[in-house]
Amino acid sequence: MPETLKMGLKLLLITAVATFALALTHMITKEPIQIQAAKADDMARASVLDNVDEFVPVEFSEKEHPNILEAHEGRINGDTKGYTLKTTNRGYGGELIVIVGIDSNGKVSGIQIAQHSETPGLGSKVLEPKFYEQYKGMTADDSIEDDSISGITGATVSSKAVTGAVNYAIDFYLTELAGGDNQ
Amino acid sequence: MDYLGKIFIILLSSILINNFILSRFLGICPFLGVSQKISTAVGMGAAVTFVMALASVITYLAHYFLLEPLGMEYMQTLAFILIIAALVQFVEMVIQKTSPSLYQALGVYLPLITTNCAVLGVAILNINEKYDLFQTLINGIGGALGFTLAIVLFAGIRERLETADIPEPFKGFPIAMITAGLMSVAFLGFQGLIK
Amino acid sequence: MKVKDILVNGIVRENPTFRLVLGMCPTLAVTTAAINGVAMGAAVIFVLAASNLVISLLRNFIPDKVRIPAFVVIIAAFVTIVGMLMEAFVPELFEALGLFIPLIVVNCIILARAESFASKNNPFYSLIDGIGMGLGFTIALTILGAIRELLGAGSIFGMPVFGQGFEPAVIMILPPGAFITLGTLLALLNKLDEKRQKQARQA
Repeated sequence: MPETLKMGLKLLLITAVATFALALTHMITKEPIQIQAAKADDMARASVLDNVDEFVPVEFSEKEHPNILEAHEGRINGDTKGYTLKTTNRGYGGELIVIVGIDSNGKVSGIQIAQHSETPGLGSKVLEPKFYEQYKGMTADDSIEDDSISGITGATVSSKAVTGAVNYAIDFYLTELAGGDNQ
Repeated sequence: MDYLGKIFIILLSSILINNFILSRFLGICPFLGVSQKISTAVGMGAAVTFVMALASVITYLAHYFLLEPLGMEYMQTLAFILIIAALVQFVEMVIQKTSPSLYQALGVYLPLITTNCAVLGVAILNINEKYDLFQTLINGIGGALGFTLAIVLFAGIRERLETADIPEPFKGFPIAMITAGLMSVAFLGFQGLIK
Repeated sequence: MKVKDILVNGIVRENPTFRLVLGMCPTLAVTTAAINGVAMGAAVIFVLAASNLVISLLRNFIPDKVRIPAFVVIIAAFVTIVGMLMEAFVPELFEALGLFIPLIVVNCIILARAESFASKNNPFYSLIDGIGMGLGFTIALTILGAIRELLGAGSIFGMPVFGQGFEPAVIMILPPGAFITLGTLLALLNKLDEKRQKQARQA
């Protein structure tokens, strides 16, 4: 029996050292990972709504809008210049996260795919400007029809998922934000 | 979408659309290694299904009731692989004691399952996709059924290839790969199944 | 046994992908572009070299009966470390490889080298073996990635090679393309072997 105990203890020791090494690496990399994520977030927001000097988070009920992850108001010198909304939808390969900008004229000022797990070479083409630039300039007074976007050949699901995600943003804009521009 | 519909989509998607072997590339080693005969393929499939369903549930519980409260999500890979290895050992022991006939059928495949990346893969996918416990179970079973479907079909084709006239350089792995490629083309056809 | 021998062994004679046909899951899954092959390879080189080194150092400490769980713990630790480092410093590549970074743990090559080489040889040779095997893996993945990217997207390392008129064969970067490319490459290698053997017999 002592032999088994010794074996167990040795294994435990190795696991303990491994855990310690992981905790250490986690401590070192935690900040860079957060900074990378924050930097990516800021850049993504700026890329869908430009000429804005600050983004202020907008409060909303997560229960009523389960597909909205984040909402920000873009301001210049305190004046509202538009909104950016981070929405999620089910894509072909998994979760699809899209950042949508809507300017003060009620038009889609740009969209960016923040995260996706679509098929490489097909669904992943939603990342190409040729596809996502289509949304730019569309009016946000009603949902975008699937037909008004030329989808990606062989990746209908991915294309529609992006449109769906944009529509969540438009829906949120219409119910929660529109009319707030003049306040 | 209602809950039941979502469950159905997870099941369908893990069996056919995102087939673990032919589209996600999880579990290729046993797929190539244990597919000479239909009977062994069925045995492997059954063993994998059993372990994958169990592993899905246990890793789910470990993640949400142990790692997350402790703030130790970074231990995920290490914890999951240990759970799977222990689970496989445990299942092997239980089957050996309770059902010798089942052990004879599945026993040889069990040790191979620890390094089957489909099992670890499904455990991590369940967490990444934020499935709840029931969805996790369905995804585990569905993924394993998809694995079984692919490996049994593949074994059926390989049995016939035995007698086929194959160019010398293509014998063995090359023709197996190309066969798998053609099967994968066929499975691409399931893509439009869910809108 | 010489350093050069061990390196050549890993890269050519016992190339994990083309000769031993091990670690097929990441090989097939991530090689949609050449750069992914390089990144996956780099991660594997790190894990292989580090785990080989540590396992070799501990080879007299680890009890024989629990060696496999011990190896797995060590490998899993290094895999998690490489994952965290990639997420922090090269997030784009981390996203591209996704699920297959944690899955390096169950890559048969690493456990196979731990079992058959590192647990029997001194730390220095084990380190070299890890690097050699890792390089062999990297080279194989990069070749596969480059072929698939060239045919499936018309570019290499993201740089367009063909003119505007080229219509890429998307199937090459879809799952079937992975199987078919690797199958054809393996057949090609067999053919070359056959030729070499014939020549050797004639000589």
